[in-house]
Amino acid sequence: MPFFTRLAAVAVVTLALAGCGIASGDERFTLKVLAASSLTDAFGELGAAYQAANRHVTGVQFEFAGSQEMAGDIHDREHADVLATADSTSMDIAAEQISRRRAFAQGTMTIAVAAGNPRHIRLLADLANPRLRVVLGGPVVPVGRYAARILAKAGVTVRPSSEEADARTVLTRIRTGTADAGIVYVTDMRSAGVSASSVPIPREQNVTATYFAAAVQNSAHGATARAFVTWLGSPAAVTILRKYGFMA
Amino acid sequence: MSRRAPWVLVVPALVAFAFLVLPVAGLLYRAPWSTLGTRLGRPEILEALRLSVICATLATVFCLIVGVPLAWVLARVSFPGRRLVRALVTVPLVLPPVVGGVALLLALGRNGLVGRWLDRWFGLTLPFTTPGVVLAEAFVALPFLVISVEGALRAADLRYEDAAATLGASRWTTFRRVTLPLIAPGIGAGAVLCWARALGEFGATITFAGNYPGRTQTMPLAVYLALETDPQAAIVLSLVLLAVSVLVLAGLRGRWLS
Repeated sequence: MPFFTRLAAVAVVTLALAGCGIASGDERFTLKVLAASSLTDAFGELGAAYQAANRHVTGVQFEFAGSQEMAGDIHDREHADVLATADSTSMDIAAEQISRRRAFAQGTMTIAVAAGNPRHIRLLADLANPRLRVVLGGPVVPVGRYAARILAKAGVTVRPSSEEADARTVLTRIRTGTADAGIVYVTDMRSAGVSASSVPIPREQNVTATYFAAAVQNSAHGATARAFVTWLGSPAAVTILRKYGFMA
Repeated sequence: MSRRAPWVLVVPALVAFAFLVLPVAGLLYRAPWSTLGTRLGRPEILEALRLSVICATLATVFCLIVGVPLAWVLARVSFPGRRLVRALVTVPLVLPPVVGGVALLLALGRNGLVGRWLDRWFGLTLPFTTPGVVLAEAFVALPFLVISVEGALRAADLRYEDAAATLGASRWTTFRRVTLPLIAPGIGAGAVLCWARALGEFGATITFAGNYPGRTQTMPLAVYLALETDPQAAIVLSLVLLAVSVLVLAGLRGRWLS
């Protein structure tokens, strides 16, 4: 019996909280952004900056995963306002659910290796060494597509140990010592700190990764979602993106 | 005296049943039945299915070899800390599989507690290999077998074992000739549950063994990775997993679980 009383009390409190949410929902709300995993750090700060400048937004809530996963999720989501992906191909997955996409940042790729580069990896060609454990993004993931283009340009054939579902997972494999090398975004290396080193890929072999953002069409806060996408091109946002190593 | 089932029990029972069956119905409803045949024949699907069946079977064999003895020790040998050991054995049941995968990496990964020495002494590394998949699946599935077999051992009539002992049989002979045949249905049921759990394993596998077609990409991984880019393929893969699981459970349930 005490259990049921407690349960009832919890139910009442929950309902009361829900009521509050509905009452104030029209004026102030949280903007929900689904973004590529490689945007994790930069978007954290961008969200705080956007919220500070826009008082009607109580917060910007992010969800990070592989671009293809976030784009595929839009379809089944009740509530999502903005989608940000690491390439145009993954935006195409959600083409029917989004408004016009806007390129807001660019980046390049690098070879991520264990801290101090113990395996002495210097060139892309070194990744072909069969005794090396190389991890890449999967063929449906932007970070994997960019890596495949780089390797094709360099004429290097790599047999990866694993194909991961997003850029941050590739980096984690190297940070934890599970893999020896991988190809990730230059901007990802900042999040690794001292736990990984990077071997630069020469400009002529590298590719430019372009990040896109778009408002979700059936977003409950369409105007704000579009405003957020436009704001990503503002001087304030560009400053933050550059701080995290993006070209914007 | 009324024999009718009280509605306070029947209604929640119906809710529970609908809750379990509805997602499956959704899967069946959305399945691309017209192109099912051609999709199923695709080499990458067959490859993932083949790898899944092989890995789940090997994991089950491994679980049988070490799990039955463990269950026997837990049921028949009293030693200090037995309750703690039993609790630890069931940890993988409640542990999120991804955490299990991380734990496996910390123990058996290249820089892991044990893995470091495996690599240094034998040149053996488990992550990113098919044996790694088997291990991840066994880690998650072993408790199912142990619990099932231990239950059978506890339910088995001890008098048969006592009789064998009084007739001069050693403990090993008793186990082999009396206990094992007695608990065979329990072992069977445990092995089936173990196999089904291993077949569906996702979190520990992708975390510990990674994902590469033909080597570590089992069906659940293929479903997850196909979901965004080719939802139809994901549904087909799910259907196959569902069909295999249902067939195995239905085929063996009548024989062993009842």
